[in-house]
Formats: sequence, C-alpha cells, structure tokens
Amino acid sequence: MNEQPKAGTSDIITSQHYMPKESDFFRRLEARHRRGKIGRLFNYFSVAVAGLALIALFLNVVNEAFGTVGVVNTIDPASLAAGGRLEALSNDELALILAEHVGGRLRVIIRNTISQVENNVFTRSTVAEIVGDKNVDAAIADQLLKQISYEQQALLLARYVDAATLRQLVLDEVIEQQVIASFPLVDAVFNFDAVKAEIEGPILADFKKRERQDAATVTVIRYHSWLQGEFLTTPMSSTPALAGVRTALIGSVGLMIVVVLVALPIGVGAAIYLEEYAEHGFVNRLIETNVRNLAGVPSIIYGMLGLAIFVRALAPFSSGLIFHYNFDVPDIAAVVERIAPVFDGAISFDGQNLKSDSDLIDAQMAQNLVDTFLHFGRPSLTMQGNSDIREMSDSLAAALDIAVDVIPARADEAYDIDIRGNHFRFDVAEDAGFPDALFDELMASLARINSFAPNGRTLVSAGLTLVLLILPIIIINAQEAIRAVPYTIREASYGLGATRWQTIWNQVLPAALPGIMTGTILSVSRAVGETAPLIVVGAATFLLTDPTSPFSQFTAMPIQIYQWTARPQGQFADIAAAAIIVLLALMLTLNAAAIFLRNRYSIRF
Amino acid sequence: MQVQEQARTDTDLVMELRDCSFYYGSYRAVADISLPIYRNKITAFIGPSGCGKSTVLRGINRMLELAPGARVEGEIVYRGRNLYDATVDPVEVRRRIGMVFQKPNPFPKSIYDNVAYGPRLLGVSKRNILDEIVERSLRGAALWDEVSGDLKKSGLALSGGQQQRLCIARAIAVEPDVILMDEPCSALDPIATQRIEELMWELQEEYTIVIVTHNMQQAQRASDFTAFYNIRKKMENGHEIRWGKLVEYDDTEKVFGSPAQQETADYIAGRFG
Repeated sequence: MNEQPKAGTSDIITSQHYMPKESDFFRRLEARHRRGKIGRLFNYFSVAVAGLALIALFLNVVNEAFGTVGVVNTIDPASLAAGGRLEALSNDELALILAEHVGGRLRVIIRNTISQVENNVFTRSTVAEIVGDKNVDAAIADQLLKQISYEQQALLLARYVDAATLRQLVLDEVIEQQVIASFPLVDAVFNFDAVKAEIEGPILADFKKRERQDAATVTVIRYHSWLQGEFLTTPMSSTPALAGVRTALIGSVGLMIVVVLVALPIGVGAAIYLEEYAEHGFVNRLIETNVRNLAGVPSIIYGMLGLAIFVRALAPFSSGLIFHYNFDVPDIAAVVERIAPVFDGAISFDGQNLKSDSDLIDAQMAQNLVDTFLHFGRPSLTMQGNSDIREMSDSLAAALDIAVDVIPARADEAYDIDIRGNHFRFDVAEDAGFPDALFDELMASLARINSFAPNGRTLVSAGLTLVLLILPIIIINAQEAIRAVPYTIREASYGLGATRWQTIWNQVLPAALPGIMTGTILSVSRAVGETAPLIVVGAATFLLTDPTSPFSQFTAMPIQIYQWTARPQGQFADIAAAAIIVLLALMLTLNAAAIFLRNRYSIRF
Repeated sequence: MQVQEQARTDTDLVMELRDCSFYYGSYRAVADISLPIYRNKITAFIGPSGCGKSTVLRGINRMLELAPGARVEGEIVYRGRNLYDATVDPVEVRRRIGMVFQKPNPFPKSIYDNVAYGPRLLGVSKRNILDEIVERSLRGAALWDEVSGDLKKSGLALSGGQQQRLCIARAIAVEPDVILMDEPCSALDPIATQRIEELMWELQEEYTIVIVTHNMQQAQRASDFTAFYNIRKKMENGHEIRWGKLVEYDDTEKVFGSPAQQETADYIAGRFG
C-alpha cells in the first residue's frame, strides 16, 4: 500500500509535482480567459441596460414636456386687427373692441382694474369717484357707471390703463385663448401635418360644438415648451396652461432647510457618540444594527410615525400654536363683525365702547356676548378637540340671560346645528322673548369660531418626518466618514495634551466633514424626492399660497407631480413632465454639489 | 541590571518605572519593568518585535489607555508623583510628556496650524505669541530654514523627513519635559534618519528623550542609556503565552561593549531577532 503523505505534516519532503502540466496549463488558461470574457460581456450588458433605462426616462419626460399645442381663439385675431397683430392697434381701438365683444363685463373689468372705491359701494359710486379723478369728462363725471354706454366705459378704461394691459384684456376677454389639445414632441417632429390636421379638424369642431363658440379659430404652435420661466414663478391653477410650481418648489426648499438644520446636527452627534464614545459592547452593536435596519424601513412607515408623533401628538408645536404663530386670536372688533349681522347691524364697536341699538339685548349683554366669543375663539394648547357644545350653549344663554335646552338630534330628525357629524337642536324658553332663529345663528357662529384651530399638517411636521427617514442614512454615512479619519491623527492630538472633545472638534470632525456633507446632501436629495410620507403626513394637494413659515400648510414637488399625473386632462400630464424636469434639475444640482464637495475638500492622508 | 554609576543623584532622575506591568485586558503584555530615566539624556529601548517596548513607551505618557482594555499596574514616578495616581489627569501627563510617532502624522492643516495646535489647546491665542512659538519650535526642529517662506502650506505636502521634523516641532511647541519617540526613523530614508539623529542631540540639551528603535546602530550612536527587552514564552493549557521582559539596562557603551546577559550579546550580534 502506498504511503500517502498526510496533509498538514510539514516534515515530509517529496519530489511530487502538484502544479498542472504544460499542456493542461494552456488548456485551462484558455478556459480562464473565456470565463473572463463572459464576465466582461455581462458587465457591458448591465451598464447598457442601466444607460438605456436612463435615456428612456429622460426622452419620455422631454417628450411630454415639449410638443405641439392647439391654442383656440374664440374670435379670430385676424378679424380684429390686420394679420392678428394687436400691437398695431391704439388704446382707443382696443377699447372699442372690448366694448363690442365684452359688453356688460366691462363694469367688472373696471372694478378689478382701475376702481378707486371699495367694492361694496362700487355700484353706488359716480364715475368721478370710481376713477378718483375730478377732471374726468364732465358729461359722465356724475353718472353712475351703469348709466353710461359701453363705448364710454371702454374709453374710460383705456384712459387709465396702459396698452399692454389692454392687449392682455383683449386676449383674455375677447379672444379667450385656451389650450384645447397638446401632442408630445415626437408627434411635433415627425407627425406634425397629421397632428395639425386633427387639431384644426375634429378637435376644433368638437370644441365649437361643446362650447357653442362658432367663431372660434385655432392656432397650432408646433414647438411649445411647458417648461418656462413663468412655470417656476406661478402658483397652482386648475387650468393647466396657467399652472406653475412655485408653491411646490418653495415647499420642497423649505422641507430641505428643515431637514438639513435638524438631521445634520442630530445625525453627526449620534455618529460621534457611536464611533468615539460608546463602548464597543453588546448595547453599541445592538444600536448600530438597528440603525442599519431603520435605513431600510419603507418610507410610508415613517409617514405613519410622523403622522402619529408630529401631526397628532405634537400638534400644539407643529401647528405653531404654542408660538401663537399662524393663528389670529380674535379681538373685539373681529367678534363684533361676526355677530353684528345676526342683529341686523344693531351692534357696533367704535374702538372703545360697545354699543347696542337692538331691542333684544342691551350693552351689557352685548359685552357678555363678545366675551363669550372671545373665550371660545381661543383654541386650547392641548388641542384635545373643540369645546363641548353644551358648554358653549350654556355660556351663550348665560350671556343673553335666557334659558336654553340643548337637545341632541339624530341625523334624520330636524336639527339646528351640525358639529362634526353630531346634530343638536336648541330650545329657547318661550318667556325669554329671544327668537329661536337668532340663537341658532349665534350658536353656529360660535361653533365656527371655536372649531377654527390650526392643525399639525405643516411644513415642520413633514420636515421632521423626513428627518426621521434619513437620519439612519446620515448616521451611517457620518460614522463611515469618522471611521475613515486615520487613528494616527487622533493619537497625535491626544499626544499634545488635547482632551477627547478637543480632538473630535479640532481634528476628527474637520477631516470627516467632506464625507459627512456628501452623505448628507445625497440623503437630503432622497428626502426631497419622497412622496409617500408626505401624503400620509398630509401635504396639501391644491395650494395657492406659498408657505411663509415652518408652521404653514405646504405642498412639495413630488406631491404636485403625483397630483398632476393623476388628473384626466392631458395637459396636466404635460406640466407634470415639466415639473419632473424641475425636480430632476434640483436633484442634479444637489448631487453635483455633493461631488464638488467631495473632490474639493476631501483630504488624502 | 543595576545602574553602575552611583554618582548620579536623584535630581538627575526625571522618571522611574517601579515594577510596572502592562496589560491588554487580562493579557499581561509586559511584566515587571523597573528602570530610571535620566534628565537631558537619551534612553533607547531595543528588542525584537513584540517584546513590548512600544507598550512601555506609551504607558509612560498614558497613551496606552486609549486602547480599549489597556492598563498599567505598578508605579511610574515622575518628579515625585505617580503618573497613575487617581488624581492625575492624563491630559496633563501628555502635555508634559510629548510623543513623536513611528509614521509621520501631521494634521491635514497648514504647517503653522500644525505647530500652533498644541499651544492653542492650552489657551494661547495671541497671534504674535503664537508666531514666536511657531518660529522657535520650527527652528528647534531644524525645519525653519526649509519652510519659513511658506507656513501656509499643508503639512501633508512636505517630504517624509520634513513631516517627521514637523511632528517634532509640534511636540516641542507645548514645551514638554520629556519627549517619547516611537521608532521615529523607521519610515525614513538614511539621510532623513541622520538629520533626525542630529536633531535629537540638539534637543537633548533641553529635553529628556526616550526612543524606541529597531536600528541597533541608531541606539549605539545616539543614546546614552539602553534598555534591552526580550520575549518570554511559556505553555499554559496548551496555548503559548508570550510576554515582554526587560533583560538589561545600562549605559549604552556597556550594553553594546560588554553586555551582562548572553541574550543581549546574541541579539546585538544579530544571532536572533
């Protein structure tokens, strides 16, 4: 039997060769190279797939965001001015066009443009008062606006506004331009004739029939960009051609600011603790494992968390209530304004004294009434729902010195007031001499002022939710950046007599900062693109006012895009594509900043 | 292993290690070291890799305890105080006993900021005083003539030898008493090494130096006293346990000329290690 050398024994010296023979070696070498080639091909394939996906995405977005549109004119501009060129017309000519086509709307236009008087006295004011000019044509100066002819009204308008405004009025009111059809860029480039024929044929005919505008003509613009300067600076609108992303853009930037301001210090602090202070024991490992797991939690779950914590539990904070922000505590004048109509204007307030001319209540009662409204108009910091209806009714009855029964009613019974789905009837005692209907009105008004409470669905709630979402990522990134700082730097610092904190602050953090910043920017760009948690937290889907503080209602770019793509009208898909380009540009800017920071400030040891 | 020259008095003694053992967790890396460190002298620690000479050096300025689980038993008496007394703040120890490391490790900052870092930590903030400290320290480290024109340049842009001298300048900027050098020349070429050695002789005038070196010639050329450490082994529960031990400490001339221990003679002659 052959004595086989035992593996692992080092004292056996043998002349046996273990390496393959020459011929075997070359045969195998070929196979090795072949395998390498397959691997390389697969890599090329992967890159190609990724690249194609990216190109497809980009082309698709561009295809939607640009393209042919059909702009319909109710009246052919060519019939108004030679060649449709409104610029060639004088002010008076434009005014006469308005007079001819707009007619009765001229008064509304005058009220909205040049009127110098309050809207509620507009109809009772003379022409001279309206334009605020004594030297106006004496023939009409003392007339009411409705007493003069349309031509006179139009010429009056033309005297006080400039040509550009008049032209715009003609466009809006006479020609009534609106987009009735849009086609993507591919059609505009390759299929323009067919598209043009379709817009000018069936689509226009359909429009004429639907809107009963027989004189309508259509202008086809071959290359129209939905992405324009105005798109960035106009707020939301229900007409696609007039809608913009300003509100959403400001909302997204606001979210970004909240996220960076909160997530960066907390994330870096946690990373410093885990890397520099924590004992490397079981607890530390447990924390680190959990942080890593949290980074993978679906974002909608963070949305639920944010809803529970920031929107609901911390509502007094996130609504801005504890700062008395965003909420006007009603004053006496505001309350009087509310209750005066109930008494046919018999209650008045001149800044000092409350006066009552009503037979129903005297001045003291009016004062009590106002105090009651002031009391219930101030929301409580706990935000534990609104005040009890019985309590409000009792206070109101006490203020008026009458007796009132509150009777809860079922939905199918007759009721006076509906508060959050609960119905009530109020029964005023007969001998009080106070009309039932008046009490109902007062109660409704009081319930309204009481139910006005700011809510927690604000920019700061959403920002903090996104902070939770990206905090694990920032911590992990910061940990890695801190770990990458060579130990020798810490040693050198300690060796000079630095304390631990001096070492961290002066050496470790500056050296880790580029890495931390890169990680932060990348995670912020992820946060900016998040949609799900914002929907859960309650971003507004249609918002005309810009957020002005952390406690404002808000909307954000992804929400806006999501909202637009979900709408049936085709043009909303086009502006959604334009908004996607804006969002992508925002992301690319952030990522470029991250790359710049990494290259510019990273330290090579 | 006795100090022969009885003429030395206690005032010459800067520091004394008394029965010091150095541990990593429960593992005793170096056992029972006793040796004196004399003022304005260069003491060299030599020995094979893993004998614990760097551990002892780090133990001297309490850098060792930065490693998790590391601790020291025994006394290191420095100017009448035990450095490991509970009342002693390691930050103060490190400020008085500076250190230069094996690999040059300037901060990723300008040359000026590298040198001014230590004084700033201690609260020196006046610009003109810092300027003076920086110039004096760079002159002390024989680097001033090479960098005086461009103090704003990054410390990392210097050559290896210059970086190490910058680290020495940084160490002497806080006016320490003792400078510990952990193989300061092992990453340098022979010419840079020579410059550092010359610098050590100059620094000796003002500072006490303890140097760990693998280079026997360097120890012989540059030091006044030499401590030779070696590795001891024993089997315990089937595992080999190794620890470091001080074999011989004496005048450098004596250690290299007529060592008392055979081990020392073998090591110096290159027969092992």
